[in-house]
Amino acid sequence: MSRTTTWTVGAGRAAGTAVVLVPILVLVALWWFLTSVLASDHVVLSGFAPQNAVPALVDMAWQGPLAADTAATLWRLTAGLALAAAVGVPIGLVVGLVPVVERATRPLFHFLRMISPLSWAPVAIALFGIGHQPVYFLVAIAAVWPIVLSTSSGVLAIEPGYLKVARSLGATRWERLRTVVLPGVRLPTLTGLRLALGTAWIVIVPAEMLGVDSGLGYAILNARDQLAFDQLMAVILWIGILGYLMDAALRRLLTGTSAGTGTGGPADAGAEPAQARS
Amino acid sequence: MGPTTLSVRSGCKSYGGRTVIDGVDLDLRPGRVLVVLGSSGSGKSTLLRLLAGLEEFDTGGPDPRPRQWPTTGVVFQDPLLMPWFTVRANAELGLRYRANRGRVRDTHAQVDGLLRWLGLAELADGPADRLSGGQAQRVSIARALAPAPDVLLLDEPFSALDPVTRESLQERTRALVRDTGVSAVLVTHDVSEAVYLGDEITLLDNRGRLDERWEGRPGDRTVAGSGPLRTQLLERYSGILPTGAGG
Repeated sequence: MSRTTTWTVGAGRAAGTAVVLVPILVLVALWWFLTSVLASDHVVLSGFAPQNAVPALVDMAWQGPLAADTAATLWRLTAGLALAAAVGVPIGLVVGLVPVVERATRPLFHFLRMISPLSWAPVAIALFGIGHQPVYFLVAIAAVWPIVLSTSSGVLAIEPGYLKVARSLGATRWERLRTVVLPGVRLPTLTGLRLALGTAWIVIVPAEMLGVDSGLGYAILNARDQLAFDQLMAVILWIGILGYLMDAALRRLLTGTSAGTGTGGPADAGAEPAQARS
Repeated sequence: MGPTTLSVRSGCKSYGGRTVIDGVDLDLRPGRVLVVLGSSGSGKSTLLRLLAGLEEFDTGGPDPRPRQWPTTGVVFQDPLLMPWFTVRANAELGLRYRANRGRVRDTHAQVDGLLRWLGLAELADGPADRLSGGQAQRVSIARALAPAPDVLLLDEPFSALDPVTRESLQERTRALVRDTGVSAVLVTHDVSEAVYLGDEITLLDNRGRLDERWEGRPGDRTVAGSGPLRTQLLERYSGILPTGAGG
């Protein structure tokens, strides 16, 4: 590589980094300006300032309950998402595979998904009482619709010729499901899971304000009750960071999956799907 | 007539009151290639689906009844390779299904031989969605042949290919049928292809009826391209069809 090319690549990378960093720095500056200049005399708002929130976050991470609260939230999130996937993927498959079910359920599912998940909170508490279960329920009910809709759309988008080929080769219904449908819907289902994660992450924090004594939602309420506004802001910051990291990880997984090549045989229905044929 | 691999008597098929296949009689003799020549929309592909068992005749059909219908392998117009599997995994799909029922042991060895024969050995472990049209169609031929069917059914498998690839694949298919001794039914609208590949040629008119049967001149590219048989077929073809036939 020539010196000029190296310089050009280096400059390009620096510009790319700047494009990402500048808006973050502007936001932090704005955050500081609002809380430390405009509202410097305001007891509550000045507590939210970055120079207070960031040390509080470090302090909570090293000495405070942040790790335990994060673990509790992630566990509930995982359980809720697993529940949503366990219910949503089979429903999505049936909806996609059976046209009459698809026609019958389409309006119903679109109606149900438009109901704010948190509006189910009183129902969840009435059904499950105070504790973890209502949180699982609210996360699951928020996450299930993207999974159902992505999976069913994925089934409908499968090239019908693949099923014809499988039939011509003598595949049973189960074999067609295993070698054509399941690999074919893997990518749309993962996309649905990513959308579900985003929705579930938004829902889980307020859901944890409903009578549980751990988790990031609880940590926000606890910080408010103790008038520890720096900690409150630290938890909000941490929620954003965690959400971003999880979304980035899933995005990376999805990109790897769509660009990967199918290496498995038909018996290995879980093989990495390759990019769809043009 | 001697023994047949596949026979159909008075086969009929209709969709919504429209007759697509009307009283078809068809005999395929062992090791022979029967070409069904017809224009677009004449019901060629329907006939092939019926022969493949993907659909059932409304009346008539396999003869004599009841009879063990021969096993078939279908090569479709599009290769339809599943992009989530490798080339080899696509080719051994039918064998895998049979292996699930305990009828096949070593699928790899059988498929590798076919892939080698079709010049695909180097690509066997690669992704199926990076192949050219000709390569993909060769994989689909391997997929159809791997379970060693009694009858190979070819549904215009070369029509989407460029002329050079098409000729090359026609030659490979001709040699493959000759070497394996498999019986085959090819449906096409291409008269030259019919003459080049078919031991016997029959015309399917637009009312879903099979016309007279002609003896082909398989393997002779000159006859297929400009010989008298081609001319006779073209004349007969254009006589029974409202639209002109490809050549």
